[in-house]
Amino acid sequence: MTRLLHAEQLTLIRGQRVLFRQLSLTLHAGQAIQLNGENGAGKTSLCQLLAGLLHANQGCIQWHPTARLRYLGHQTTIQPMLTVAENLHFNNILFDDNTDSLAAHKQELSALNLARFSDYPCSKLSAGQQRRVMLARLWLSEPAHYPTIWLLDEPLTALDKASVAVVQQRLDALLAAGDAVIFTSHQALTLNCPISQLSLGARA
Amino acid sequence: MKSGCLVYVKREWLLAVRDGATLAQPLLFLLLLVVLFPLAVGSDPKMLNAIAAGVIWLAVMLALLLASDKSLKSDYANGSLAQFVLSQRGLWPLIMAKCLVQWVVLIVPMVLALPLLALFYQLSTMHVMLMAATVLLGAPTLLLLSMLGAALTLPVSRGGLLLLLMILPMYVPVLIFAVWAVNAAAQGFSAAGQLAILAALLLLSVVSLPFAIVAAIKLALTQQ
Repeated sequence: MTRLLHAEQLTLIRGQRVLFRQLSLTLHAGQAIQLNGENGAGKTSLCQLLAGLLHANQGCIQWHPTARLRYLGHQTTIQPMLTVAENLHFNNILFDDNTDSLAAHKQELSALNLARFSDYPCSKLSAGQQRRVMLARLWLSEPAHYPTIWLLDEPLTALDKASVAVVQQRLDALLAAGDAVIFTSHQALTLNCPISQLSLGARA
Repeated sequence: MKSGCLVYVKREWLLAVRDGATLAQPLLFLLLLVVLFPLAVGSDPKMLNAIAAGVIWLAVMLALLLASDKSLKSDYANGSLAQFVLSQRGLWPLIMAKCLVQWVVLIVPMVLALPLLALFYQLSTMHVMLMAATVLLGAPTLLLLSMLGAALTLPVSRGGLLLLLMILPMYVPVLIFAVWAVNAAAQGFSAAGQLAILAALLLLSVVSLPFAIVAAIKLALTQQ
């Protein structure tokens, strides 16, 4: 099994607080890891660290040379002044290697029950709908020919049951295709493959 | 390239024109300040002529400062900046697109308003043309400096005053040479030297400040 990510002896200190010390993890293709811990345990910081948005005080992270990385954080990453379709369209400018197309846009919007909101300004959508736009935007950034590491920080926040099921199906398909997922969630997420658990907080 | 850098410009353009209130605020501020000044100091043409360049340039500076706080804030707050950092093209095209669109929606209307403002100060056509040249050459430098200030103060929730304290001193060279150019021309001297210095400052800003802006944004994201 291809090793997509390996982090070794990571230590992260924010302010006076040690979030984690000498934490190591390895992620293989087709593997899902759930980060557990109470609020403030460092789950989001670890996701940001693995995405390259933060720098560790100690330790190193190695990514597979062909692996691509997609990150979903807490914020909506959508512009409220733009319509749903425009927000998805401007997702194009971020990545050259994705499967993005007009047909794919329609398909994603339909899958997430957003097709009729295509021309709505995002400011008019509810929090759950905005989150679904964010997920559509994320799935549209899927690289066409590369194994991908999906770093999902609370992907189920504000979603209804139907949308949670869509996310689960999507993650199953991605894992079956050889991608890997690291996610945090305070809600139950059921996947076809076993989910490795990593607890944060106890080490600090 | 699938979408091209023009898509960045289109995105910024749509964001700018749809937020009409934010767009109109600096322009209205400039117009009000420049129009109210002659009412406050009197209508002596000689005095108005002497202070015109300074007043208009101060108004341009403060209007740009007013707009600068918002240029990156919304992309930072909604997490888009993090996605741009992680994207294959990075932040460069975004910063350039933001500057270009701000130049079009802020500075061009300011220049177009100059003939109208000149009526209040009884400026000659040559005076107005030279003033327009200094604004076109000098204001983009101020835009880049404002963006640097905005990037440095991104993690600060009410960073307006901090931005003002950091950026205002950096505006001073542009202000000095721009006002000097107009005043020198009014006294019959050549303004070519001052305009050349403004152009040099602009070139220096274009090649150096985007590096600093990118670094400041990345630093801000670690504080999020």
